[in-house]
Amino acid sequence: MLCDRCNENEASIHIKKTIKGKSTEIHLCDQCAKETKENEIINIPISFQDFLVGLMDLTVNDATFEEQKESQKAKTIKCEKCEMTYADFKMSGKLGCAQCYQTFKKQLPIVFNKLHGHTKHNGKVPTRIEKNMIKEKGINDLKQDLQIAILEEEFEKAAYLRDKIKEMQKGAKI
Amino acid sequence: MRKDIIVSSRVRLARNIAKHPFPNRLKNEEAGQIVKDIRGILSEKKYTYIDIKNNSRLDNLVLVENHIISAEMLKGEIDRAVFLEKSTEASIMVNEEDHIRIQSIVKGDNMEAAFKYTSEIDDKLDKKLMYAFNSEYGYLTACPTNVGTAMRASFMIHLPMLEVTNQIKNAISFLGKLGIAVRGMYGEGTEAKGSLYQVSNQITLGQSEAETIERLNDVVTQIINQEIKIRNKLYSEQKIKLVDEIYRAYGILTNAKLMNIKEGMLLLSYVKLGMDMQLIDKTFVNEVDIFDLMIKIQKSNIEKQAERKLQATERDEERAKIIQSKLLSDFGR
Ligand SMILES: [Zn+2]
Ligand SMILES: [Zn+2]
Repeated sequence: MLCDRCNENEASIHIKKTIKGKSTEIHLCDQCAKETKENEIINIPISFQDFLVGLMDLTVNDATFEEQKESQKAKTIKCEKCEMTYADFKMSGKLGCAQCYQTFKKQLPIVFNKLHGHTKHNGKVPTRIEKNMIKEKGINDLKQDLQIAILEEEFEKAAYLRDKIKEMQKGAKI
Repeated sequence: MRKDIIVSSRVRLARNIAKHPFPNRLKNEEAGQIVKDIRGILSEKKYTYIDIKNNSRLDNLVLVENHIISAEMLKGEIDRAVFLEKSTEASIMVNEEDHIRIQSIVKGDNMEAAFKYTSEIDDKLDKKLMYAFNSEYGYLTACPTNVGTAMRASFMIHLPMLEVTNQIKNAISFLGKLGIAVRGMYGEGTEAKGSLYQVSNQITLGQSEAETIERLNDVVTQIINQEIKIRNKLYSEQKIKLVDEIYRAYGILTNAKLMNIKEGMLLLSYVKLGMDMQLIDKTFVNEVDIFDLMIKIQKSNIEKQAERKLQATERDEERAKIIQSKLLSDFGR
């Protein structure tokens, strides 16, 4: 096994450490063990997973009693597709499948907010979604035109627009 | 100076296929099917396929050192693979933390190219696969730290002077608050080898890809300006000391018989600084690409070249030879 710190020499010293209630093992070579003793083990990188788990605990600590009760209940929520529970997610920091994002819909925005300061995507979109969005935007535009046509009592035009919208909605479902 | 300080520009996109569980919940059969499906899409000759699961450990470690795959990729149990595309410096990892990780690392200051190359591969896969995507949260990833654009852009920058003057630590903690991460050359903690730092965005939700790159670029520009400021100050106030330091580094690199990785990286970093500040002539060091050389002296690269496992002392001896063969034009003559 290689040394965790330099990834260069064979590890000869194995240290068990408990960080946030999770025990981790650290493997060091002689040289690194000596060096880290001098500056205490600050340079051992805490994995992002640990950070995330800590962050979610923090969320609970900051929460009100009601929220804590809610969070307690949340632990047992289970994804139907991949069988991941919220407790599993808290342990590993990873979700199990796309469906998990629906399953933990209530809990995730808090996590997103802490991590990103946002809860809504604002970037690239897959082509299949893009097509639907253009279509949807088209439908919305037509609906607005329809409203105007009705208000202005242009019934012939309104009827035409209504049929057009129906037609497009049918298409969007496929 | 900026173009010398920025060693490389990298973009990485994470993507998942909607119908399959993420790799951490994936059964091996299904993992194999994903590899097969993607092999079908990336079937053109220009994509080199490497089966990571059945590749030799040493070859895999070399891929990690060369930044072609992540160290995370070595940990998995399920079928996994990487596809390489040389002309765009792109690699596509399959079944790492997410089903698909597309990355491109372009030399120097060229994030636009790295972004363009990864986007093109993304579009190609997008046509054939139903990505896990949600209009609220964007591209869905195994780890919520990547959700949204699922894009990580990073500059690899050389900051010897910020390091020497101890300013780097303050910079790192400050950048953390801005949602910018700073790591060493191989993703380690604050103690970077060879004064090389990877500076990358942490935020992926709520910002567009272009915005993310722009913000990162602004931050990196600030850091680089600070590095240049110190270089200029040192040059005008203590030039002879600086030149002395650089030539001493050169002297040791070209004469030592044993070179450990720590010393090698440090001394090469000095030589790079000397080249970039035009204190040492490029022809004098054989116009060598110092960053390439830094990779070639990593453990597994040396063992691969020697074609056998080496003891620590043997490795240090090989390392000294590799450095000298690159720095000295008349080496071995
Ligand atoms: Zn070590
Ligand atoms: Zn799930």
